[in-house]
Amino acid sequence: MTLIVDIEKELSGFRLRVAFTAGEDTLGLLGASGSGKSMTLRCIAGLVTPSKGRIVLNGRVLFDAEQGINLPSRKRKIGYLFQSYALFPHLNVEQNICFGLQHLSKQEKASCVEEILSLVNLHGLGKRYPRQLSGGQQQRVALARALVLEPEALLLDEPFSSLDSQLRNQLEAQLAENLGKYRGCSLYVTHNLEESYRICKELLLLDGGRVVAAGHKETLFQHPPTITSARLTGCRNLSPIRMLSLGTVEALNWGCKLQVAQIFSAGVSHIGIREHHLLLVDEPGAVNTFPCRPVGITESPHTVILRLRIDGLDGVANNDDCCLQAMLYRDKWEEQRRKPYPWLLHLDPSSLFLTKED
Amino acid sequence: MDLSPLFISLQTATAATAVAFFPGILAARWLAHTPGGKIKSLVDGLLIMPMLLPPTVVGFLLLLVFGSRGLLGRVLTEWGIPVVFTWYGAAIAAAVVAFPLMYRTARGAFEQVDPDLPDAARTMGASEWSLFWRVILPLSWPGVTAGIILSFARALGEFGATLMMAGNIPGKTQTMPIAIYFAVEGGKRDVALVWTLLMIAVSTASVLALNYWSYRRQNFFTHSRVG
Repeated sequence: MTLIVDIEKELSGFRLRVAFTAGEDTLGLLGASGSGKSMTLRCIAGLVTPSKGRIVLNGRVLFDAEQGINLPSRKRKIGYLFQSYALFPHLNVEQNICFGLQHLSKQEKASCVEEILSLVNLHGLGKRYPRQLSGGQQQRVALARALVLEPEALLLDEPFSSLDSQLRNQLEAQLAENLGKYRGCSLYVTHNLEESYRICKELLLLDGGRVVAAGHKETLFQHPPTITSARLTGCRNLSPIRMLSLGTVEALNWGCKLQVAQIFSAGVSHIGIREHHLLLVDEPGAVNTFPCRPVGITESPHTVILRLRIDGLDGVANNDDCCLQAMLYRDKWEEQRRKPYPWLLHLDPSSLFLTKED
Repeated sequence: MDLSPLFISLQTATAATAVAFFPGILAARWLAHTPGGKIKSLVDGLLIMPMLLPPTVVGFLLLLVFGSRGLLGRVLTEWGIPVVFTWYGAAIAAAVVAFPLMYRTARGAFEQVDPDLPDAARTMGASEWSLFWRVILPLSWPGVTAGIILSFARALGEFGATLMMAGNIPGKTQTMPIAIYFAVEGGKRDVALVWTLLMIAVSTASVLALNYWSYRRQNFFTHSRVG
């Protein structure tokens, strides 16, 4: 099961250039809106024709600009789950599912519908029309309709974006389960990084129409190779660095000298740390521990994001980049807020990662 | 009173609507959902031209094509199917004039269809032809019906182009609007009044049918969702 994609698409004011290979594990395409995620899927499905490149699915050439091959959508055997689900409003659930099964007999169709509806837990809803279903049920009908054709690849375009968050968690687990049963390449487009982390094993980070990083999700989140990929994986604390000696750098924005555990590799220019890795401690004197003061706070129901500035930072410009953002749970915050200034901020060497410019 | 103008009117308007229907929806399908290319906007302009031109201009152009010395007319006369001064000549004139209404209304209806739906059909193996009949047309049916009714009403009221193509032959090509004109000209105001009332009745029925269909259409698409 391999899907090889290497395409370019020129649009007015936008250039998409992506190359990747997807295997049997769900590949997540993560990026902000306008990064080219959906356009990539549309190119693979044959709904949009790329300007250059080739697309090969299980050895079958779907598109090759040089050889002039461009298989129409209907011959690509690719299932597509649209953001809007795109259920046919004039057809009931059964008719929607049978839409692509015209070549089968009546009995064969009926048994297909039966089987696929029980797979997605929608037994007995075959006669309903899409408008009579909830958003979650519509999504499962759309998934069933794609899966019943046994596609060689399944493309999912932000399947949760039109659902409210309560419904999401429950449906996400179901979708992950159904994807697990599916034997074929699946691509999952989303702008939600937590969702992408939960559902996919491999991730592709897109920004401005190009791939900025690709790899196993854990590796990507622990050691984002570039600052853009660090930002896309949700890292809010990044600073340019100056090398001091082996294992020590100066973080220029934050105004501190830091010991790092990671081995220096060529070209590293920035250092980063995730907001939940920043710790406020009581004991001074430990490695990478600095006095600091809060300059801002954003409260959420269960967590608090603090913007902290390390003391003695006078020479550097006084702006947001100088602040480190730390995430605290509520109970820890209630404790911390009573303590006198300066607080002590600890950046664990093993949580710090070095990265480079794109 | 001779009722033949009523039947000739209904006959020619029905035939004209049928003739305008298929080219109308096919042209609409071709031009819907396409970004404004220069060729397509030119084609669009040409297609709605019969609606903008005076009917006499359309009538004269049709005479040039279908007249006994016209390009098509000569061939058709040789085959023994003269068009000028026949009821199907009237139907052709009415079809040409009604065509833009069919095309424009159908195009508007097709463009209302969510483009994800034909795309979904494509990924499910449907050809362009099949998805047109199975997805786009059924979803635009209320709008297309409106196009049919408007075309029918327009064909029914056609006067200028019909008169030039088919003339005023009572019992053969004399439609209601033409009967009214010649009744007034001949001083038979009471006859003209009867035809006028009949015209109003038929047109009102068309408008009522149209409203009924647009009501159905609204119901069809705005039916409340669950959840």
